[in-house]
Amino acid sequence: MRADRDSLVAAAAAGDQGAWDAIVNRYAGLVWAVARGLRLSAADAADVCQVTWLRLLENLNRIQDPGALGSWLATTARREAIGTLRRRREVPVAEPDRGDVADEQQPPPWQAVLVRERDQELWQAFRRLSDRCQALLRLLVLDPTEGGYAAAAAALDMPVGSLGPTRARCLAALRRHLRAARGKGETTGEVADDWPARE
Amino acid sequence: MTGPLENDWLDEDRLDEDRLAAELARVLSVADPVPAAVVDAARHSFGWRELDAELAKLVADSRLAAASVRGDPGRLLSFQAGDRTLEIEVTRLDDRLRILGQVVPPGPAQVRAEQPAGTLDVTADHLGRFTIDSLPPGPTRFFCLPLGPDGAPVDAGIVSEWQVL
Repeated sequence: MRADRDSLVAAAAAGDQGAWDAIVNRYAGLVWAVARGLRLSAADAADVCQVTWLRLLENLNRIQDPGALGSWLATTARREAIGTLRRRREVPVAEPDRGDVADEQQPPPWQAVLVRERDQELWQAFRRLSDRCQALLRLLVLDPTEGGYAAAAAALDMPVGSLGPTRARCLAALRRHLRAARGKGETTGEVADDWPARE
Repeated sequence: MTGPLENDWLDEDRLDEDRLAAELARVLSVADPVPAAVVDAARHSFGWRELDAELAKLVADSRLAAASVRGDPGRLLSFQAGDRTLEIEVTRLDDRLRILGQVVPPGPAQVRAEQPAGTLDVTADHLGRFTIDSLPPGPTRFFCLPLGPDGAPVDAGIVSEWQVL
């Protein structure tokens, strides 16, 4: 895997469109998840994705460690996304994850594509999680490998060691939301979120 | 289809974390997929690779400054490559951008605003100043080719890092 990735970066830098396409296919989901996890609208997320790929392109010859490509992309996308949020002035600078979601801009409407009721329930429960839990789960369910954790740590600006325990708490919160929606367990409105308090 | 695996996925202690994560991955890939246009744009961006110009790095961006004043005139960007600098002021008017640029050291230059959707050529005057009146927002870079006294490019020029404007 690692050798593949190293040679893909080298081949793309040498002008191999196929190698570039393979890199895009491998990491497009990651870059998208970083932008969406920071609550960007679909249109802004598309711009952030494009500029992130253009940045990679102009830096292909400078990537020191192709093994850290996912982390490099995640860091770049995060920086661009936060810049876009500041430009939009939708959020206080200190808390980029409290953005105003433009859900109406999100194609396609989830009701139309999630045909099974339980899938709709899961999606709605997910949307009730804290922004941070949503961002973390988006990244970790996408790529639960070591490389995926490293990229998620870069995207979330969190130590990699705290991701596992936080993932468990976020999944537990997700399950409680699901149970609450089903009338099992908790019946009252708010379900504790379980994002660890900042120190 | 209500086999035990299908049925029990919500049941409290039976559902292990990885299974819930896998269900969530599937639902996310359906409810918020990477748009095909975004993947296409990423693939096509490979065409922007070839360039002999020196990369001018972003060294200042008013958007990233700590204090932002309400009603400020615009976003100021500064790109640098060696002893050359490109100063860009971006003002937003409705859904178009107005660009005021300054090439340093001052002097005539060909300037091209490059965007994935197209390019726009302007000329910097003998003081290195240039204006672009109506640019669509989005990922943009500036390619700057300084001209000598004979009107010919003095070298391969500089190109700014890509920025979302």
